[in-house]
Formats: sequence, C-alpha cells, structure tokens
Amino acid sequence: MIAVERIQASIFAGVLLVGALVWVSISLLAMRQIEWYHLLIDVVAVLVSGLLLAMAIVWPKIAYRYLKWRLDQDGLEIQRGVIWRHRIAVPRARVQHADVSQGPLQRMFGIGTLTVHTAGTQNASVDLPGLTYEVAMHLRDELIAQGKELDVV
Amino acid sequence: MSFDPNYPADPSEEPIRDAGSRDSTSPDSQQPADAAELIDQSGENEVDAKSTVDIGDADAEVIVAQLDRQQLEWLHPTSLMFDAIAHVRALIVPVTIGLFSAAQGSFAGVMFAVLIFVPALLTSIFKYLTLRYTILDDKLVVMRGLIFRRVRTVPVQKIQNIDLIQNPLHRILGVAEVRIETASGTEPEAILRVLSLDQVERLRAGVSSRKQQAVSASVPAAAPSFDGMPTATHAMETVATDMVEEKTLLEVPTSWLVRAGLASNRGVLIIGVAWGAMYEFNLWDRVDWEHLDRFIPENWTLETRVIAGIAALLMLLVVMRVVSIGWFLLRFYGYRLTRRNEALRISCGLLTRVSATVPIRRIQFVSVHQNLLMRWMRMASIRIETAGGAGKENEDAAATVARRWFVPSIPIDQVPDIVRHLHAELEWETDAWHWKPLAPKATQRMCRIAVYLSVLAGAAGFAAWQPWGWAVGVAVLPLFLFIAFKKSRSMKLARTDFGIAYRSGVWTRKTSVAFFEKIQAIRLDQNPFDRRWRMATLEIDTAAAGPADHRIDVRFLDEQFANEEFETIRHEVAIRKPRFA
Repeated sequence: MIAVERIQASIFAGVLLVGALVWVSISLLAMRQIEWYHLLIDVVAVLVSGLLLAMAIVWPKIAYRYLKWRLDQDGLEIQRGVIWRHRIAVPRARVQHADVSQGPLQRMFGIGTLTVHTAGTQNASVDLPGLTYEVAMHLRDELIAQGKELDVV
Repeated sequence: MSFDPNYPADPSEEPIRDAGSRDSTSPDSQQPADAAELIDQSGENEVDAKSTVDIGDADAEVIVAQLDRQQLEWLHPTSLMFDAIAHVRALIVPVTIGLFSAAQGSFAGVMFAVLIFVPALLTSIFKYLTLRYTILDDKLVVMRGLIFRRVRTVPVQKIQNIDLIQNPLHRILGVAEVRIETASGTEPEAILRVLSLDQVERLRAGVSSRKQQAVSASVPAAAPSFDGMPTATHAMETVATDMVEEKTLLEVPTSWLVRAGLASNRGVLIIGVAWGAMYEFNLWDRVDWEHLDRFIPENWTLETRVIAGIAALLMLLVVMRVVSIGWFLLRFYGYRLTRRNEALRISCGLLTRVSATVPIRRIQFVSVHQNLLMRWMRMASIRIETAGGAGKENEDAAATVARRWFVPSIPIDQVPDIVRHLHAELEWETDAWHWKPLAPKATQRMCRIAVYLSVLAGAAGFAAWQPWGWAVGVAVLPLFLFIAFKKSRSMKLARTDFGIAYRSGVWTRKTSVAFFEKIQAIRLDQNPFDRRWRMATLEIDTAAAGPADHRIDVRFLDEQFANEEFETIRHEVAIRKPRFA
C-alpha cells in the first residue's frame, strides 16, 4: 500500500519536477534579459516540485498510519485522514453492494480498493483503499452476505 | 448472453416475470434472454429501470395471448387533446418563436411551426390509437406501439402510488392524468394521460384489491383456493373492503393557509417575474431613468416625497404577501390528509387538483419548519422525505407539491397528532427529548468567526470605497455576532428511542428526525481547527431526496460527545434491521 502510493505520487511529482527543470532551463536560455524575479520564480518552481517529490515519499507512510478499519457485529467502520480526519460507519444491513477494484500498480503489488455502496445520498459510496486483495475480497463477501432480500429504504 | 442494461442490479428488485420465457437458456436464469430484442423507445422518460421490465416480443406474445381474454382499457378520447398539449408545452420556447415568426409571415417560421405541431399531433394520435392497459393477475400491463410493440408490466406490489392530477380543463371534462409510481427513482413508472374518473376508480380498486390478495396469499395459513368457492371469495372481499377504509386525519381550513401565506416570503417571486418581464421586453432601455422625477408632482415637498416612497414600499410588501397567500390558496385549497392502511393520501388544489399517496414505511425523515412569523402565529409546516420521488428541483410543480409540502400549515400544538402517524414509535414530544447543545466553546468559536468575517467585509469595503469603506465591517459586526450567538444556541442534537433529532435555525427553526432504521451511514469529520478546539462534525446520511432542506450535519460538537454518539448511533442503527417490503 505504502509502496504503491509512494510510486504513484512519485511519478506525479517526478514529472512535475522534470517539467519545472525543463521550463527553467528553456526560459533561462531563451530569455535575453533576465530580471531578478524571473530567477525567483524559477527557484520557487524547482523548490516546490522538489518538496512535492519528498512529500510523495514521506506522505503515504503517514497516511497509512492514520488509515484504519474494523468490521464487527455492527458493521464496517473506517477511520482515515491526517489533516482532515474522518470516521465513517456503514452498518452491515445498509450495504447495497460492494466492489473491489485494482489499478495496474495495485495489481502488481496484490492490493485492492474496497468500495461500499449504500442507499444514502451524501455518503452513497465509501472507499477503503490499501487492503490486500484477498482481504478486500473477503470483506466484500462478508458485507454482502447478509440478506439481500431486505428492503432498506 | 447479452445483458439488459435495464436489468436491476439488486435481486430484491427482481420483477415478476413469466417463468416460461421461451428462449431462456437455463431454467434458473432470470436474465431476460431476449434482451437484445428489447425495444425501448428513446426520448420517453416514463421508462424506468428498476422494477419494471419492457419485455421482448416473445414474452409480449404470451401476454398478448392472455390479454385476448381480458377486457382491455383504452385511454379516454380527450387524451388526444391533452397529449398534444403536453407535447407542445414541452417545446414551449421553440413553439413561441415559431408562432411569432409565422405571424410575421416568415416562411421559415411557418415551416418551423408545422414541424413542431404536426409530429406532436401525429404521435398523440398514434399513442391514443395503440395504447391499452389492464390489470392481469398481479401485474399492471401497459401496451403500446403497433410495429414495435412495447409491453410494460408493473407488479402490483411494487406500485407505491397512483397519483392524480386534474387541471381545470380535466375537471370540466371529468378526466384525470394518472401517474403510477414505484419506489424507484424520481420519474413515474407510467403516465396514463388521461383517464376518465370511472376508469381511475376501477384502476385504483383493481390495484388495491389485488394488493390485498397478494398480501393475504403470502400468509400461508390464510391462503385460500379460488376454485370458485363463493364463501372464500366473499370473505376475501370483505377483508379487502375492511382494510381499505379511509380515515381523515386533517383538513386544512382556508384561514390556516392565509396565515401560512402571510408568513411566507414566496411573494418575492413577483419581483423576479417583473424583472424577467422587463428584461424580456426591453423595458429597461425604454425607461428614461434620468427624468423619472417628472412623474412626481412639482408641488410635493420633501416630506411628501418621503411619505410617498414609504407608501409605495408598503404597497409592494402588501402585494408580495397577497401573492404568497394566493400561491398557498392555489396549491393547497381544500387540503385533506387521509390514511388508508399503511399509506397516507393528500389531496389539495384550487384549480389544478392533486391527489398523492405516500406509503408510511417509505418515510425517511420528518421535519417541522417554523419561520419567525409562523412562530408568532404559533403555526408550523411539516415536511417529509421519502426515498426517491420528489427531487428538490421544480418545487412548485403541481405534480410533486403535495408530496413535498406534506402539511403546508398547521397550528404547532396539533403537530404531534399528525406526526404520530408517520412512524410507529414516533412521539413528537420535543420538550421531553434530551437535547444536547454544541460544545461549550462553540459560541466562542463562532463569534470569533463572525469577527473574522466582519474584518473581511471591512477590508472589502475599504477596497471598494476608499476613505470610509471600513465602516461596513464595523456596521456588520454586531449583526454577525448576534447571528453567531443565536446560531450556536439554536443548534441541538437529541437521541430518542426511534431516531436522531436535530434542531437548528435562527430565523426559520427546523426540527427534524431521522429514523434509526433509515440511517444509511454515519460520519464524523474533524478538520485541523476542529482538533484545536476539540470539536467534531457529526453527519447522518439517509436515502432521503432532500426536499425538507435540513440535513443532519452538526458542526461544533464536543469531540468526546461526538465520538460517543457515533458509537451509540452506529450500534442503534445496526440492531434495527430494515423492515421487509
């Protein structure tokens, strides 16, 4: 999970950094008269994308530490968020259906995202990323096992 | 096997179909095997995916064969006219433009008008000539089309409402537009435009008696055989008539509606209309704004002018109130709320009469609203939310107004008597509920936000108007502080035996209840500021469509209290199983 997030974020930040560097070199080469604020903008751009790359490596680990879930008698509960913290509970009987999805990178690392759908309006679907694929499948089966003949609305 | 896009994802919504579908690949397969042949006329929004199936030719033939022995009902002949009117009305803008240019003798305009009117008329005629419906066993069957025949079956048990709409023309001719609704989605399952009142009565009776039979038959011990045993049949009929007895719960007299109109700001819409009219007809440019004062008599002193201005303003206010009273009377005149078994029925309207039904067990959310004036008059309005059905748009549409404004106006002390009918355990004793206020420091925090907002307003004012603009900030500060203070005091949360109650509102006070068995998800949010103040936001999600305009989304709760409530509500919701259909 950490690895995948890290790779995804790094790719994004890396592209940004390369872009910034290319832009800086082109602008420095092409410009006839270089003012001080041009340099300032260039430095800021490079710094920001460098910072993003560093964050891309550190952040997933922090985010992972704050991502928790539990499944008990009452249902599924997810806690997530480092800066904005969320707690979301979906009772078992309210689960309409559940999906497990995998991107290419996630497939390489054998993990999946569980998406739980309810009949609600605001939180009609709840994501739980970073489960191993088996656990995600197991959770899904567990959650949808209960009486589908129930009429929830 | 091809998959029908209309095929319901949820097996519980599995429509009742003929098991003997000819080319089913396997006996237990319930996929429509002939899905590829499904005929679904595009552009018809009566089509709804969830609980009906438009069946293909093979099944259609089976049903048609059965139908030959049945008496089929046609639409009422005046349908032709109403259907054409509806078609034209849907295209009102192009029609107006077309007519306008046609009147000016433009050939393109004439062509345009013809292009719109002729197809509308033709489709209406075609629809009238080919549409038939009947109740077959436990299904409502609607057939239409000649070359591409489309047969729609709606299982009677899935029918939630049969709603009637009668505009004055309908009433003169003794017909009504009928909308048949199921629990799925916002669009009616089928619209029969128009039936005679006799036909409506037959349809209603047919649906409700078959519904009763289906219910009784599903109780194994009470399942009688219908082998021509007169006594059994007779017994069934009496049971059915016993159960369909209707009880009047409330009749809203005109005086209540007048009071609601007085309290309502609905009259503001005439300003919008006036504005629109001015814009539309370019009146704005024609008025000579520079020389308006020539309308004022020369000999008026300053005082007379001020008095005249105030009088004009008062006049406008009076007109606005009159308009809103008019709106309430138009929509809700003769309001009657009745209960039949497990469904509530509302009928109201001065010119266009609407009759709508609400199944009690579909009610997600109950909300009582009182604005400032209504509080003075000790009146309230009750709103309910069901899953699907009425969306938030088109609040004024005749078709949905009754559902949205459940009770438009009622004295506050009669609210508990009505609301009691909405849920088995619901007792509207708001004073007895254990209201919990926001976090102790919420007032402080909200006042601080008010100060920041005032500073912002002051800065904006200064930017816009140089030397004295900051005074705006000073001027709004007391107002913002007052609102923040009142707001923090007005928000309260209570956990009762049947659900979560939430009260809020400085001017318009709203008190709402979400029932435990209808709660879909619970959510607790904390942003960085919340964490510093040790607060949290608690959010309760239901399937309600939102017309009550009061979501349970409570900010500034004490962190610990919110977490405890989260756990308790989670448990309370989980132990209450959703009820069976």
